[in-house]
Amino acid sequence: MNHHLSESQWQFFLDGGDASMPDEQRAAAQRHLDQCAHCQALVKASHEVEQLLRHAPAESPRPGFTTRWRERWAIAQQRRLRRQTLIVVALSLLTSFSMLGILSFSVWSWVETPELFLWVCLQHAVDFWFKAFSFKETATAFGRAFLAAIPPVAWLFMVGALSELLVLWMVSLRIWLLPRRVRR
Amino acid sequence: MKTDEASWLKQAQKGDEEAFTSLVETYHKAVYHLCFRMLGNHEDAEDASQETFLRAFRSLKRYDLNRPFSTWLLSIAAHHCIDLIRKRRMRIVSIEDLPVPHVQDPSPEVETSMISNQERRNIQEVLAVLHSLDRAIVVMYYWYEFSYHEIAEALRLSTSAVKSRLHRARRAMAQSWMERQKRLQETTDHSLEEPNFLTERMLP
Repeated sequence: MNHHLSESQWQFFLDGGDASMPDEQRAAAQRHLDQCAHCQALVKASHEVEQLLRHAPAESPRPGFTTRWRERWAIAQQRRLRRQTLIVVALSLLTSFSMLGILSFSVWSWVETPELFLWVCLQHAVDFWFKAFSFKETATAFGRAFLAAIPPVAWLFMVGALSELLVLWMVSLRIWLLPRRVRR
Repeated sequence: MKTDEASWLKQAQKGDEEAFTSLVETYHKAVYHLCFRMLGNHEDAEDASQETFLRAFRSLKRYDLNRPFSTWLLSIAAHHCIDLIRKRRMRIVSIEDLPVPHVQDPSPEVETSMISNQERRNIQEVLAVLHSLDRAIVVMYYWYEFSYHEIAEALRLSTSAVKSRLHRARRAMAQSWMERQKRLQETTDHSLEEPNFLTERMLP
């Protein structure tokens, strides 16, 4: 029955007036309302609904809402943590399997021809041996030069100072590890 | 109070649970009432209001401190309830499904409780005819006295859309109320017309 009253006319009867509404429209709406039983009933029903809604009391939750909320928040946090852990574990597994797959793919050619693989390993071992030997020679030469540069008196002084420091450190550690006394 | 709220909000934005709990304590009734009017029963209202606060705390970092907190919070509650109603495919609670108190003693307290239950049923029945979004608009307009602009902001609508939807909602509610009254009248008339066989038999 939307053809009976327009939105603004309807609002006029519900809210008690609209300043922007022309007088002719108001008069026309009033004339229509005086004659139309349907609109009269609708306006009356609307007023009753307004009264019902405006006077309805506010609904309150059971006591202890905040406590229940805190519990729910704690559960939600636990779930979130569990989900995050699962995601991290899943990603780690995925990465591990991917790397394993890539490694298997790379190693596959060596597995197919083991003699070549052994030959390459041997070559690497020999290379490593030579590099280690040359490093040992260099380190020895450097050590000798270092020892020659420092006079024997300085060596004695250094050893003495280090010994004292060591004793001091051991005493401090001992004191630190002792249980504390509680004064009453 | 407003200063407290501002400091709680700032602390809660940094992740302080105690500060947010104070906000829950302040706003839980308002949120619960909205959820109850939207969903029509206490269990769902409790669940929805708890969920509203969880969502609010999670997205609090995105909240603009210059906006009123109540509007923002009720907006989350309304949207959550709308989603719930949509998920349930507009399941409307029938009057028969609502709990009916067993009246043993017609004392004034029980009578008041019965009136209150009847009022509650009337309200829920009137609201049940509305689309979920219109229901949110009606609840915000009548119980929270939000302006058209505030409702529009909370529900992400234009002000004219809010006005139009509210008008349609009021009309729909009036229509439903009118039909209900007519039905009740018919039932009363029918019961009055029916002869009382027991009385007829017992009387000489």
